[in-house]
Amino acid sequence: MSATNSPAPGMRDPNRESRVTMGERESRPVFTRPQPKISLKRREQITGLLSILPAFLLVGIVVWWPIARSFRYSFTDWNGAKANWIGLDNYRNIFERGDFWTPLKTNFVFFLSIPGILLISLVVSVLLFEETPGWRFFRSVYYIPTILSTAIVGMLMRVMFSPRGAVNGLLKAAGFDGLSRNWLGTTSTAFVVLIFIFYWQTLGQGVLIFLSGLASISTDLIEAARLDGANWWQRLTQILIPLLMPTIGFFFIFNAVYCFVGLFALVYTVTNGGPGFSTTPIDLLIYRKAFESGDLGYASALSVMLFIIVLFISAVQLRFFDRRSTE
Amino acid sequence: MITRKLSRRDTLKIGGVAAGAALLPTGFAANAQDEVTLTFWSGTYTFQDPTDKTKDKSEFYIYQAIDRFQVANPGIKVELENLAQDPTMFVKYRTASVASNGPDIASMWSGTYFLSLKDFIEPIATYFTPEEKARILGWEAVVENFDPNSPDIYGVPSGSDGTVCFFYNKELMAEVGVDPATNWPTDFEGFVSLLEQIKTAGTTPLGLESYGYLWHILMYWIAQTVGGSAGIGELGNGTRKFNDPVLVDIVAKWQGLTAYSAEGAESMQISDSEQLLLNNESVLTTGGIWIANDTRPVMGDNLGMIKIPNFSTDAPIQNGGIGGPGHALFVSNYSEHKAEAVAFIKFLMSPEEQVFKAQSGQSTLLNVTDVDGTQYYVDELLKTQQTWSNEPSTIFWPDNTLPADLTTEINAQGQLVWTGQISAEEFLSALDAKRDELLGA
Repeated sequence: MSATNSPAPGMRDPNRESRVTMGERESRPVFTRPQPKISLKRREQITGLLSILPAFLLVGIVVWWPIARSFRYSFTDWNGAKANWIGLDNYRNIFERGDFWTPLKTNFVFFLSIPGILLISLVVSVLLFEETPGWRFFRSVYYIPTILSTAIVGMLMRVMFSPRGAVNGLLKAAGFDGLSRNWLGTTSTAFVVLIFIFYWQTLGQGVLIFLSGLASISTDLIEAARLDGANWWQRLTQILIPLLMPTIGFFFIFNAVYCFVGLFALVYTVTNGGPGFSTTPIDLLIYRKAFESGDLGYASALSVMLFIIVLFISAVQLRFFDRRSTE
Repeated sequence: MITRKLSRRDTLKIGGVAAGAALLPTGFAANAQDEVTLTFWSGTYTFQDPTDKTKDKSEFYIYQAIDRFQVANPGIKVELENLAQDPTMFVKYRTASVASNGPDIASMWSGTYFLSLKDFIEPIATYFTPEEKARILGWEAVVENFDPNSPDIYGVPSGSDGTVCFFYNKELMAEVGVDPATNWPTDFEGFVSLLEQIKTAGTTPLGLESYGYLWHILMYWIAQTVGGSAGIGELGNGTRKFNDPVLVDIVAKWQGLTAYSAEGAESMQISDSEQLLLNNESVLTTGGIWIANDTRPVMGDNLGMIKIPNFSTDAPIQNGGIGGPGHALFVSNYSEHKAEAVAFIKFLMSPEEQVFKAQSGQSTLLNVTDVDGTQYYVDELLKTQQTWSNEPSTIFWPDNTLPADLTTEINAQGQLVWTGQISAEEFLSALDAKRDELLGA
């Protein structure tokens, strides 16, 4: 017997035999439970890892493996069929050719437009939260553009904003002939159209996000402010916005990432990056270089640059909003 | 929980069913091995009527041809997929080919467009005898550097686009007192005078679309001035500069056509420009035989056709237009059925099928020596186009001649110069800069 007085596996435990008769003792074998080879905690760890392994493998194959390959191909002249190592030539060309800066500028124009849609979404959310007349109707109406396919919206808007489209038709019918123009034919008005569509589709998403944020705020706080004499704007700016900072941070970061990696469908269908290349974002440039020019190595290098830019911007924003939320 | 012990008989039954089920796919596979399926991506054959979308596919030549091929070749099935007839067809082919997941056969635009895909294309010279090759015209459009003697042939020229010209509304033209057949301008100044006449009468003279405003008119004037395809090649290889005073003059004068054009030409779709013509909202539009095919059913004899006026009577090439063998059939080098794919191409190019194609009046004009298309076309306009396409004044498509990236640059900068956002000099300088960048200068 061991020092703990527990019998070894398979051995008799005399403590359990105290109530057994001599005859029964002779005929009935007594077994003790064997000690497990792996502890319960370890088993749970292994079970957990095995549970997430399929999803992890899927993400690894679908996301991380292509990213790693893109990184590798960025150092080659890959054209889809052959890939020869060329070192940093692709990265050097990105900076020397100058065709990277115009698309980056396009992405930043959209990025800088985020505060506008943020404010609009916030105001609309507060109005809906306060159940202004017609709030149920407007809540549905604002969300419909969000669920529409961007490509369909883009094609529709291209037709509407064409020189002979509905927008110019309405302006002329209303007597504003001077305002009718070739909306997609000049860079400035093309951006106006693109930002309008971006706002139109993002409003519903913003309203949804901010309504859920507002639902977590105690109405007593808002009532107390109202009783103290705070007007609507003061309640919005000095109570609601500070309390909604985590939600605002999420909205901002989500749309900032979209402005760098999600504009392809919108721009491709509305302006196709024109006039010239003036509304071409980086992701459309990557598509052009990869699939129209066949320069997949260069496109891979552009993708890596975009990855770094988005990573940097996301990190800065996370730090900014984390600090604001703490305050 | 209900438990049931399996008897030996039950076990044998279940095992038999499982074994049979496992053998089923192999049985299907065995049958499938007897039949070859060719996938054919078509970016050039007509598959729908834009004025009547209810037409059944059996009314279109290419579907009829496939049926005939399948009857003549039992065991070979051709699955057709129609592509958008614009540069996106090359994007789709390239994307699929990177994964070796593209078609066995494809029909797309010839020249630099499809030659940029040559890493995925099977060289085809060894599949054709000299006699088979000799009866087909336009081989220079499917070889690198457009050298007809080159052994590196990547496709089979499958038809001619004829000569790009103006299509016009005869009634509206008659209203302004112009008969193009007898009184057509011979230079730019005369052309502008005609446009002014039409505009004064209250109709928009030109309804141009996003390809035609640039490539049918401007690039034609540039091409005829620099001496045709050879001159275009010199612009592409740097021997000749774009930013030349003569070319600057052409571009500057071409910019003036915006005053006579429906707004938005730089982004207008072909269907929209055709609608302007069909609805009597414009008098002239540019294009090739596809315009005749699309608008003839509605306009009938009211549709007229006339060559684009020369820019100058001093240009080396007169009374021409751009066009030529702009289409090619080719086989993917990852195809598992290359022999069958080539057989299908040879079938489509056979004299018998060329006759059927001519009789249908669809797709492209003929480019073979042993069938005279003018004997079979029903539409007089197609007969005229066939004659024009054989004239030396027809200049092969400049965008099929220049490098693809330079073509993209021309398309992009063209939008800016047409709308006056950049000057003619800036436009041509940008093209020189892009060309030099591509050449590594």
